[in-house]
Parts: sequence; C-alpha cells; structure tokens
Amino acid sequence: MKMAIGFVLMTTKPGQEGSVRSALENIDLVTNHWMLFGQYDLIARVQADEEYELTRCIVEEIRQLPGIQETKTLIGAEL
Amino acid sequence: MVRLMPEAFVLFKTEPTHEREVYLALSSHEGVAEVHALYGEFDLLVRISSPNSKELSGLLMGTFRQIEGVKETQTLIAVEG
Repeated sequence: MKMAIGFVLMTTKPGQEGSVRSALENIDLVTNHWMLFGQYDLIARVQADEEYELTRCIVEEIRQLPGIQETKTLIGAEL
Repeated sequence: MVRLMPEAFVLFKTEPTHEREVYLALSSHEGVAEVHALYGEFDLLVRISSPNSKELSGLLMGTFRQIEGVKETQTLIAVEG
C-alpha cells in the first residue's frame, strides 16, 4: 500500500507548548506527537495515503495553529 | 543515575550512495522502533523507544555512529509532559 509519512519539527511561542500540543491531538492525520527539549519544542508524525493530503495537513492545519512560531518538515522517501 | 526517557529521534546524514546500507543496518537493530528515509537536509530518521540515557549513548556512540556510511547525526530527546 502506498503511504506518505512526514515528521514536523515545531518551535512554539513561549508558553504555547501545551496549547499547540492539545491542538495536534485534534488533527486526524497526526498519528503521534512528542514534546522535545533542545532546538525544537515538539515533533509530530503525520501519515496519509497520498502525499498531497500530507502537504494539505501540514500547510493548512499544523502551520496555521495559533502558537506555532516555526516548523521544519521532514518528508519520508522510498528507498 | 540512569534516567528513563520516553523516546528519542535520531536524524542521520549519510555519505552519498550509502543511504540504503545505513537504512538496512538501522532497520535490523532491536532498539529501533521505526526508520524512514527522508528527502531534504537529512537522509534518515530513526525513532528509539524507551531508552534509558545509558542505552541511548551506547546506541549512538557504540552502534549508530559506527555504521559505515554515517556522516552526521542529530539527536532529539522526547520528554514527558
């Protein structure tokens, strides 16, 4: 089965980690998320059947969340 | 003190043309929960489930960074909260 997987690294505005995290819970394509220490504050695993759905989720849902400051997306490739 | 960590992510840059070998070496490793090849700045991403800090440094220094073809790694530690 074809599947598209991406990981989104996020930096949030100070104090917004919790609200961004709760908002991620309500995004269907986000299969899991973790809080991080260091350069990034959160990482989310996004999974869809098609790559365009992944793009739509990242651009229209994740990056639009209030409290997000910066994101960096890692897109899964096939070897 | 050995602290228990929920998960860790390791991002890899590999030497050109070594992506597949490194991918295979990582996938066959017991401590690895998932491995993905990537487009962009990094070539591979690995998620390690529930390592303690000693196991994590062992995996990183003793195992992952010894794999032929690994050029650079960056580790992201997940925390409880």
